[in-house]
Amino acid sequence: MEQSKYLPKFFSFVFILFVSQCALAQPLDLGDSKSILALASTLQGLENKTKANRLMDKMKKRMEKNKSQIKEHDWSPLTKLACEAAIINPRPDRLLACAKAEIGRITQIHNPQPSLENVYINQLKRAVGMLSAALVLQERGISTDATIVQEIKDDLTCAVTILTTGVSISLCHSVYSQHKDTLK
Amino acid sequence: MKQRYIIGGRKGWLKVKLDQGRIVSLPEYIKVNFLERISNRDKFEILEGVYKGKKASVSARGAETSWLGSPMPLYKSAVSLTFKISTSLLKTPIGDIQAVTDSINPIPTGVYPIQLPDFPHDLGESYLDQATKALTWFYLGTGNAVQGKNDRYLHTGLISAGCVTVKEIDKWDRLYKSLIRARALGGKKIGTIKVLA
Repeated sequence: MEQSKYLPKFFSFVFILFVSQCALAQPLDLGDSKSILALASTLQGLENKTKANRLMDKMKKRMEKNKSQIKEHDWSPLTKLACEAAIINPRPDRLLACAKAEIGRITQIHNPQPSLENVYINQLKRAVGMLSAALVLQERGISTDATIVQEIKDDLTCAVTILTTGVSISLCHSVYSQHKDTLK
Repeated sequence: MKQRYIIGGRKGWLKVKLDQGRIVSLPEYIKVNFLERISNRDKFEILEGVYKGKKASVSARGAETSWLGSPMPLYKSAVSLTFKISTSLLKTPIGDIQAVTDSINPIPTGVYPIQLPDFPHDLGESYLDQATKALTWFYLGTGNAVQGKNDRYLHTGLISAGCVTVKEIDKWDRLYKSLIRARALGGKKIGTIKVLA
């Protein structure tokens, strides 16, 4: 009885991993979970952690400033800060922030090439790579709080669902769902 | 009136006060016309860059010294860079350097003017331990860059959001040195960059 309770959760997790691997069949740069995991095994030194923490603090301050001054985020610099932090010292929370920022900046890309739809799909694939890596890192014991883990799972399910069905779902964070009409 | 140039600090920038009262940063080697020294401040007119034509002042460096240098250094002719997206190579006066653009939002192919540096970019701070001039980004376009409008720059760093990003951070200071005193006509640009597929 006790085991059967966890079966649906287990299968949904396996499904997500399976679909995410399919989405990753083509080589992706920042979204390549293998590269991220390889990086993660070598970049956990104190210097990297301090540098990455500084970048994340800076990103949070910028987000607050954006909110109070221009009422919307200027995503390009936020992407640089979050993704640099994720590359310097890969951790689940940083990969989550990087993936979100990359999706967020789609609306601010001037003249997307070859089309907005193409950019959106590629960013979703990148997000899947990063979020899959984030879950593996979390399972390897790189600690992060439960809220973040849930957010990673939600965003991963969201990105995979949009990629496979073209439809946004209710658990999608606003940065993901703001493009919900793009794939129709 | 005597022509002088801006002496920057270690990071290559000098804070000055515009006549309207706003404090701005000027990149080193910007040409200025020295006007006068009043109350221990040197007044000048900016001759190049985004503040071209504006008057400003800076506190004197010392009783006999100034942040406005003379004699004038040797300026070079306009530079011509080539960036090939497919090979991730940037051809520069100091040789080929590894550079990237965002694969999802690449800089479109074409020829872009390279402007004199506009302001210190704090996104470069994390690289200051590897490149003292990492705050200096060169805007690739005409007019002034506008925040949030997907502007393209030549800069150093690990992440590109569509700029031409020099990944060999330890080579940035050498490249910077070869660019900062180059000049094209008009007092705003240092040359051009050709972006190839």
